[in-house]
Amino acid sequence: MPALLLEIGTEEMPALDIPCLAQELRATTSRVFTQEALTYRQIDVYYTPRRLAMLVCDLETQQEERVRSIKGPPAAVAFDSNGCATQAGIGFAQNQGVTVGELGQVKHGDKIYTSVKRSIPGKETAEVLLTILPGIITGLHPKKTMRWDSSGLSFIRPIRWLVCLFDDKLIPIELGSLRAGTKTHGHRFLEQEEVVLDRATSYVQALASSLVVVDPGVRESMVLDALKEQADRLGADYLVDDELLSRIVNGTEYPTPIFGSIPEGFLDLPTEIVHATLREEGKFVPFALADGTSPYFMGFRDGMPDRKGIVRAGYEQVVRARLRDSRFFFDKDRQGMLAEKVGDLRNMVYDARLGSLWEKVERVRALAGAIADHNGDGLGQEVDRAAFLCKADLVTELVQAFPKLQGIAGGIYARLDGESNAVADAISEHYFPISNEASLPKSRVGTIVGLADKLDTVIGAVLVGEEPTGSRDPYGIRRQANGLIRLAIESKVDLDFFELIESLKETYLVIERKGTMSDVRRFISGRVSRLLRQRYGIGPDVIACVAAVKGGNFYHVFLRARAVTTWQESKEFHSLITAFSRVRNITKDSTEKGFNPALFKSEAEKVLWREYLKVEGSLTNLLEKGNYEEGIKRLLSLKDPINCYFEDVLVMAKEVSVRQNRLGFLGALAGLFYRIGDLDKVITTSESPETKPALAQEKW
Amino acid sequence: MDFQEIVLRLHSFWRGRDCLILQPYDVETGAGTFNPATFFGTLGRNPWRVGYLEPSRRPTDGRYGKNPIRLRLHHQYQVVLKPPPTNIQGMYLDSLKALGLNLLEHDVKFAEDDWESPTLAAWGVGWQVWLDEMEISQFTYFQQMGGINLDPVSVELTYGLERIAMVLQHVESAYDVSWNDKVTYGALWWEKERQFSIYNFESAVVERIQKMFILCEEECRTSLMAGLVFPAYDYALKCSHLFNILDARRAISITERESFIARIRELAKACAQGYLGTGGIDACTTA
Repeated sequence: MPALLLEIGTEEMPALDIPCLAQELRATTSRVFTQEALTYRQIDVYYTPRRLAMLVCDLETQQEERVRSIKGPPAAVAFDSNGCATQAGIGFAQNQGVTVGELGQVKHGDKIYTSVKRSIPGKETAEVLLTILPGIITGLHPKKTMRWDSSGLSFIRPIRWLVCLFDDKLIPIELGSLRAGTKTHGHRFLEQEEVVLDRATSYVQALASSLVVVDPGVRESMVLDALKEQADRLGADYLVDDELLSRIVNGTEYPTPIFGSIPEGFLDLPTEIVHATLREEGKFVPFALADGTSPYFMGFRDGMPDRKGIVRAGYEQVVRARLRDSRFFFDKDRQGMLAEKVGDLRNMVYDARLGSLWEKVERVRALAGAIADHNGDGLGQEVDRAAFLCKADLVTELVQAFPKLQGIAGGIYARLDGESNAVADAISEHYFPISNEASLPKSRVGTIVGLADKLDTVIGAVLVGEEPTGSRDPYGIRRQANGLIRLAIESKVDLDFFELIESLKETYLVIERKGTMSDVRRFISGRVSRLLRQRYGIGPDVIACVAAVKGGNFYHVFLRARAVTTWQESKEFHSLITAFSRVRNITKDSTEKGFNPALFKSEAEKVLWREYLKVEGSLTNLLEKGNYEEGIKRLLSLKDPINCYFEDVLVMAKEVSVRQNRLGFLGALAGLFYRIGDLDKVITTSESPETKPALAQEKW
Repeated sequence: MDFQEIVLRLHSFWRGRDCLILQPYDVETGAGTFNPATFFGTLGRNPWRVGYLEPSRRPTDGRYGKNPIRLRLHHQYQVVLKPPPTNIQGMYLDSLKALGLNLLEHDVKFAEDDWESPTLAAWGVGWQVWLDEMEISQFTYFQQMGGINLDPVSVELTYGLERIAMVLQHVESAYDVSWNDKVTYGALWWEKERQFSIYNFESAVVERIQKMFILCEEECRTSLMAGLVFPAYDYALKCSHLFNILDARRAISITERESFIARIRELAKACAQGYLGTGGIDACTTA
């Protein structure tokens, strides 16, 4: 079966943008081909910095027949009440060359219209391609586009050639001033650069023999294999992240490893600085030896092996020059103490509405101090020192040259200044987690400063009206909120953040507000629910159950959710929920508070009351310790007394004082359950989801 | 190949491709882009091809003569082609070959670099060209200059001559480059680098430079009001250079920085509009 090749030849596209663009090409093609009734088996995409290509495999040579429906007058107009065609009906049929009997019906909006079905015979695929392919190319949406000639075309970089072959047949599509041909380009630095393709399926092979590996997966293996092999030889680790890898893989058409070394004279620089220097602009991959030094690196040349060692000598020269620069920055920064730079933060704007970085640091100190008061394990002094210093590295030369070293540079300088390890580690770690999956601060002080920093960022953004909406989140506030919640949950921070914010609300009074503190709580609570589901795999019903109890102790929200999930499967728990529901239903409109046990009459009442006292006594202690599973177990002992109670006792007694007393007691009893959540929301395995329609409609 | 030979070969190469060969501008510039031959040359519809050498002053890049490749003043060779020829990348690579580089023995990469000059209200799309991972050129398709959308667009090629000379002469430091067969780059420039670094980082009198900035800004405005865009542009260039000195002296806070840049940008935009006769002077009087 025939295949279609489309190659868009460009000047070098930005490495990190190419994969997205290729996926878009695939998706757009698939959508347009389906619309156009072109049948195929699959689309493979290929790309390098100089080309974006796809191979549509097993594409039928003939477009499928399509049926089009032509809308006529409304049925009520075309036919009278007896079902006979009116003048309008007959006219429409005549115009379409069919008999009245052949008229069909089509619904459009609320109305029914007459219609005629027309089949459109399929054209030759080659002919269809000629008209649709240019639109597919111009319909791509690169992140940033440019113009390069007077054709009016815009794309990520100039398009310089097009190849379009359907099997062995040229499809001469036109785009701007270009017309597709059969000629592609091999590697830029080959003597014979032009390659003529005889058929679509020879694409990958023909370019491979001209030193172009069009499959990015193959290039990635070439890079990783070279790194692994060298690392094994050295007994070292290679330090490559996704971004650096993508820059190398998608910045070359034929990656060839070049191994280099760093002169000893630079190895006294902190390794983080050496690594950042090597990785800058996606150039070199550092190797880290077991002794902590990193005297080797690997770069990737685009082209043939470097037989004369010219490229290696060039790479090493660049690395030396860059390291000299880093040393210049390092030495300049070291002329003063980190603490002396804190004052310079007054001149750095954090946000026009939220003031300077100095002001942010002051707020972070206040928050961190308050957190430390509750959870500081006596580390209050270190916390305050770390909070005071945590942003100072933003004014250093090193961070201005290597923005990714923020935090890390501060940690290095703090240690060299003789600050304690706790303070230095906390500065390094306080931005953690730097992505939704990245690791958290290890130290307690780093955790506290990190919590305070993120909390301040979220509060500030929401108060000035920058709460994320839809896909709009320019300040990355969702990520900050996720970081805050993960940190609270996974580092087991037993603290009610909403109470904390409440106690420090004066700190934020100076800000001109568009949002309120209750917006902050609502936003963060929304993030908590979402994370519980997405990250911790808690079911939506359990989340609804625990979310019914408002609170800012995220760690405990998580513990409650986990405990309910654990119990969810058990039969006992199911009957406990049933018992709870009876209590809840009867008290839900009641405002009665308090009760007098002296007014209890029946034995069932007294039994339940005694059990209530027992459970209440142990529950408080258990829940404070976060032992919600055991808490639920204690609640189970209420199940039978509750059921007996409802069999023997008429809650809605005629006598007002008895009724009020009973409602007050049951209200207090329901309160016990609410310490876990609204159990009524939980779907247990023994009931089907259909019984809770309200839940299914809630959006998660 | 010595330094002056490189300049002569580039002159000759681009003269052979219909470029006017011009001279450096005689007001301080941070890059060849600031030379009026590029700023005004890229505006308007007329075709324009030009090549020239531009000594480019960047006070913050000073290293007291101690860094082998980072210099307070470096020499750019600047080429502007409007409209860009379709084989412009090939033409650029040919110019490297004309300098004696065997591209089969080196690693050449076009690495994404979207260029922007906030002070000139200009931006473009293109690359840094890396020779064995060392940046030797900037290659940019200008999309906007002086706040004006360009049509046709221009392409700008900027060669970092010290770095290219280092590769060609196999030396590790710009100061070891031979200017001709008797004089080294270091003999000509090292002491100047040292003194200017001290001046820019430590000794320039901030208050006076700030006053000079204001005077130049006023002179630029007055010239614009008189319809004299070329004199006005000279003073905009001086403002830009004085700003760079203040920046190196760390006399500009981050907050002020934005407003300084905005002030220069307004001047550049008014010059561009005045040049095209589209009411730049009015825009400036209201500023």
